[in-house]
Amino acid sequence: MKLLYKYILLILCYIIVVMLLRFIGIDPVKLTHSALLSMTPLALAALGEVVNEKAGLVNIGLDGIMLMTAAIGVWGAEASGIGYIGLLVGLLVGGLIGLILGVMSTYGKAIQIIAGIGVNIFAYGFTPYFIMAMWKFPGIRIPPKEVLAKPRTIVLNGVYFDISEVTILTVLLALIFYYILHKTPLGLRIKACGEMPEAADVAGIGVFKIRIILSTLGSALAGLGGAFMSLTWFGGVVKEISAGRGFLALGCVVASGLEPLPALGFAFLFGFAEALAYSVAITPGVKEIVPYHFVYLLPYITVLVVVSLFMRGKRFPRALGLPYIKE
Amino acid sequence: MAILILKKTLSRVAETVFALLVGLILSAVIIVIHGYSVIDTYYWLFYGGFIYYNAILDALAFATPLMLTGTAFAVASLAGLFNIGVEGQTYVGAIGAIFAGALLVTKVSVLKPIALPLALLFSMLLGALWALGPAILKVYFGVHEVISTIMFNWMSFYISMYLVSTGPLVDPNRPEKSLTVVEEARFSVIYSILTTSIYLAVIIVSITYFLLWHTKLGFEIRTCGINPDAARYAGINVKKTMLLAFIISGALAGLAGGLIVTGRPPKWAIHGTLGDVVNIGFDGIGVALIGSNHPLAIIFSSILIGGLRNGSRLLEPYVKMSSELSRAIIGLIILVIALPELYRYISKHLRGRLT
Repeated sequence: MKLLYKYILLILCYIIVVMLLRFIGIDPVKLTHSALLSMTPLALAALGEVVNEKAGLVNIGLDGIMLMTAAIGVWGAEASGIGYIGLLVGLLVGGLIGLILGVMSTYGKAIQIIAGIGVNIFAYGFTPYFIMAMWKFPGIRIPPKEVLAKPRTIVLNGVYFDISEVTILTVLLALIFYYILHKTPLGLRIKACGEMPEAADVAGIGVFKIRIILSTLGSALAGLGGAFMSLTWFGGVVKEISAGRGFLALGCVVASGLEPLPALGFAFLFGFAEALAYSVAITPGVKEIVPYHFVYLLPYITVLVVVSLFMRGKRFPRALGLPYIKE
Repeated sequence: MAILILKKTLSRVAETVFALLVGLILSAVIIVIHGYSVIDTYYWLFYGGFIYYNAILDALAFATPLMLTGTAFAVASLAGLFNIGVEGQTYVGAIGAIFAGALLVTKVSVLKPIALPLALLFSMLLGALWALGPAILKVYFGVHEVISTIMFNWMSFYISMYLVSTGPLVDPNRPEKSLTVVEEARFSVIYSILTTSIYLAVIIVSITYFLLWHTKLGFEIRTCGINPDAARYAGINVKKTMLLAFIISGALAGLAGGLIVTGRPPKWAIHGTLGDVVNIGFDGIGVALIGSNHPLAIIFSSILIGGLRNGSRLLEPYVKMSSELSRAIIGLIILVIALPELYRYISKHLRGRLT
């Protein structure tokens, strides 16, 4: 009950904030719409990383995965002619990278943070290389409109509202993950792998199996988020499309203390900050006074403030980031 | 003792060479998938990077800032901190050098004779200051440095871009680039784009080596990195040591940015899109990891990466391929380095076969 009040309070706060923003000429419906668009990739990557870290692996390569799948997703959509196939290609490529990282971090006992840095740097090089190799044009690709997976428009009381199926899926996933982690034996097993892999192993839980599956799942969701960015949100890919979003997602993960529902909430907050920055930057009356460079700082500052406020007192799995060595 | 050290060094070198080879083989697979010729690609990459005299000098010029960003990452890394923020600290370092070397000395002309040291001092100061933010967040708020430094990177990207594209540091005659530093704030040119700044970089890296391995502070930094709890029991102030390591790291990264401005002809400035300083930090991370975080090894690995970056410029005209391939290769090499078991497994296997 107490939790419910908290959520109602949060929604009320949100409504007050967007109503106030009306005074500087920002349309609340449009703002919510772009906040949801901006939330989706963050939330997908964050949710995947939450379950991945629950089982004990850290993947800081999310940013790179999102960047690569943004480009490869566009290729998938163009090759098949269907935007949703592009999203699926993003999901699969992300999953493949997650599978490789998972095997490296379990059987290979890899140093996970360095592997993540490797994925990111590889992606910063591979993405421009891939765009050039595929479309013979440096740094940017705008696919034809028919192959995009644009959000659907819903009419509610005469108000037009755009929402993508992927966004709805993301919210459902947060609920499903919450249910699995806290209400099922599987959730208990996942948490055991992160807290004390030795004990989990003795209890007959396949630690490596669970870690590899969750690493695959986590990166697959980040991959879906990456393809969502290029195919549903921006309608094209540039070589720095991820703009550190993988790290914003990591911010959601640590601020939430590895809980799916708060992670979704923080993703919405960061997405809102981003959407707000984009709309403030082009608002007449503001853009003449404040250079857009400073408005764009908003999401990054939000993350720093939120993470430093909410990190306190959060507990993380004891075996997080450490390779489990079977005896 | 000497033989033991030599043996250890040799096995480290073998491990690195192995990572390089695997990285090159994996990227060959990617090149083939996209229908390019592997032989052509690697020919131009290495020809442009290492084969002829001028290419080597250019590679050294590219290696100069990488040496410093690599050492910057290594210092933090030895203290157990992943300073991904070397990237952003390089941007603000470049800004510091432009501010002092172009704006300040023209306003206060008394300072002109000391323009170069002043510019470098400012770049180090700003770099250190920019590293202080994530350091404080880490030490006092427990925010993981990987997240905070990336946020600081993007913040410094937008702020620096504002300063050099529309702000006070833009060149009024050529608005696509920043102000040019005065002649007193430039290193002398050795050949083409290579300047004497490389000597300074080597000296600074050697000093850092001395600091890390032959002073009390260096010992404390390395102890914190290996085991912070043991360091605490030994009476080391872990918080202070981490802060110091981060600040030193930031100052070195800032200096790298400063050297790009004061030591890179013919511009002696940076572009409004920050093209000259972007990715110097990330390449430096590769340099540090390939050099296994050892400053003296970093000098060599920076020349290797500098050569790759220099050689990759020939890929666009000759193979019609993006020069960014070299960065993808660096990423693959890092992935192999993150997996030391692979080398151990294969070398054990090979040894088993041979005996």
